[in-house]
Amino acid sequence: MSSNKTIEMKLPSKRQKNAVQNVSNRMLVTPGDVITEDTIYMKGHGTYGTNIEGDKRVIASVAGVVEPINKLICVKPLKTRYNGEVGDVIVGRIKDVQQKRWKVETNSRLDSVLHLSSVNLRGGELRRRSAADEFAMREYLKEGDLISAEIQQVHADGSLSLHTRSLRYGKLGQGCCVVVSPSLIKRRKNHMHNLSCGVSIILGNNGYVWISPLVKTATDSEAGDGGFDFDKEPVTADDRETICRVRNAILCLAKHSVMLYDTSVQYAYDKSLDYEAKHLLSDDVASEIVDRTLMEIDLLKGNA
Amino acid sequence: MPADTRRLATPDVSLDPLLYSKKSNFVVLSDDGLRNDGRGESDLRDMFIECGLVSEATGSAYCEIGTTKVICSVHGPKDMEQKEDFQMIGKIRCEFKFAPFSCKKRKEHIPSNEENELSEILTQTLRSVVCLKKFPKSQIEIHVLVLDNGGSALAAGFMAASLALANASIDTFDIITACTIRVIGKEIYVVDPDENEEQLTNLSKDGEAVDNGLVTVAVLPTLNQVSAMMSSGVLSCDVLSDAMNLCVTSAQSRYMTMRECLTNMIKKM
Repeated sequence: MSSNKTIEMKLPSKRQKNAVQNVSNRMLVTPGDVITEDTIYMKGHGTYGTNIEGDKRVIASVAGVVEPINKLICVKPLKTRYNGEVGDVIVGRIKDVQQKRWKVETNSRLDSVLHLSSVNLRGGELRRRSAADEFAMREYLKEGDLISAEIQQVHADGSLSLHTRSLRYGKLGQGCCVVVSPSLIKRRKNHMHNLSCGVSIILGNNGYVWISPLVKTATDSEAGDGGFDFDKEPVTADDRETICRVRNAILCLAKHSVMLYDTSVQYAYDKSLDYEAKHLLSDDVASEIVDRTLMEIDLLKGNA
Repeated sequence: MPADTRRLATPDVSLDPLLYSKKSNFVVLSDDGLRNDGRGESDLRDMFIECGLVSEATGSAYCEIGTTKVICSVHGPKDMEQKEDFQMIGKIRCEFKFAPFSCKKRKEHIPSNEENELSEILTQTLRSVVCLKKFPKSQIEIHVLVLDNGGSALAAGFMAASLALANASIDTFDIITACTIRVIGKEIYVVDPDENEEQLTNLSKDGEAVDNGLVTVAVLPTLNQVSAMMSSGVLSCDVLSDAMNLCVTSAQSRYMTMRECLTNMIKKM
């Protein structure tokens, strides 16, 4: 049985490249470039100094754009790993199940750790973790599961300790995960939103965004049991299409380096209703939607 | 050397076709001082470099010098696999591999002694260039694959590796530029040799064994430091130092091309 499906392809030379942003007035550096020799500047991320007596040069160690923040000189590189702060909401994937803890992959330099003592037990009991709990770890979270958690502690080497000690966090059920750069997620008070288009999203600070159908329970949680059982009810076709559209809209925004927060995602979704969900992935449609979204955001800022 | 028992071996009666090829008298420099491809003795070949080709890798770079084609992919920084190597500085693992179809003689899939040595040299060089103090308990993996060996593959590998590290936004002290020189007798220093000039032995006119060798130098251009020096063959001290100086100046001239490639990469983001 043959089906007539059209596939869109574009030669690399014909693809519309992202317009060169106004980098002409900013300094582009490569590793080894001397940024300044002035002694008043301090060295930030992406720079280093030779520790030779009398040598006060600030030298770049990554390829990127120089960002001077008052007297501190940083170089913003192309790709950043997620640097955690205490209190950030993240979405991560279980990589390994070890004795009394799970290793979680969170797009950071080192894997994060979720201790058995940092999760809620079934039924919300408060008791000491026994050996039986250790054996039952895999029944709760196993390799490949997605969780939402909060950062409890940042260790000296940069590794993160997570906790899911609230009904809002826990194992994630049916939905879609989108990976974007961590630098695009604004740090705000609330990272879990119910969008008016009919989906709920979790904007993880580490760049993982989770889109799922609207939570049906009255409380804020994804599953009312502290994340043990997720909603196994089948998701309707309309909900699936909405989720797909939101995912593609987020990818459009990420491609053009637009900051992601609930308003920008909502506007991008509204502007994308003119097109079919799958067409959002092509470059021309994406840039048009992003332009219109940015105009709407400017309007909002103008009115505020 | 370990044998590869999993892949089908060639039939026992097969012979290398190169055995039947006509042996031509290869002359490095013609009477008017030009090499076989029309270059002068100290002329470098044109270089093409591009970053960000391998989507699966954290960073990647492709380097083409003449007919030599090298691709490098970088993975990391990621968690260390074994817990015995607990250190507050990061670890680098490099692999330098020739693709089976890259050289005149087919290379095996299992790394040979030469490839292991080149991997070790690459590891030592990159260890001096990457800011390992910024990656405690992490490891970075660098894989260099030579798709076509047209001479100076190691030099191209150094440059591709440093560009791939910059593409992956891993902190380094500088970018690496490298160059190879073939020494034939006391007078002739052939810069950026191609495949024939690099591998054919005994090219000197009087057949002398001394002062016949290959020197590769990797340089950190802005810091003006040498990060790798490899020489093979029999070279007397003054010849070796002359070859090294010539290598350093030739490597410095590669810097502008590499810097332009990196700034284009930043502008595209």
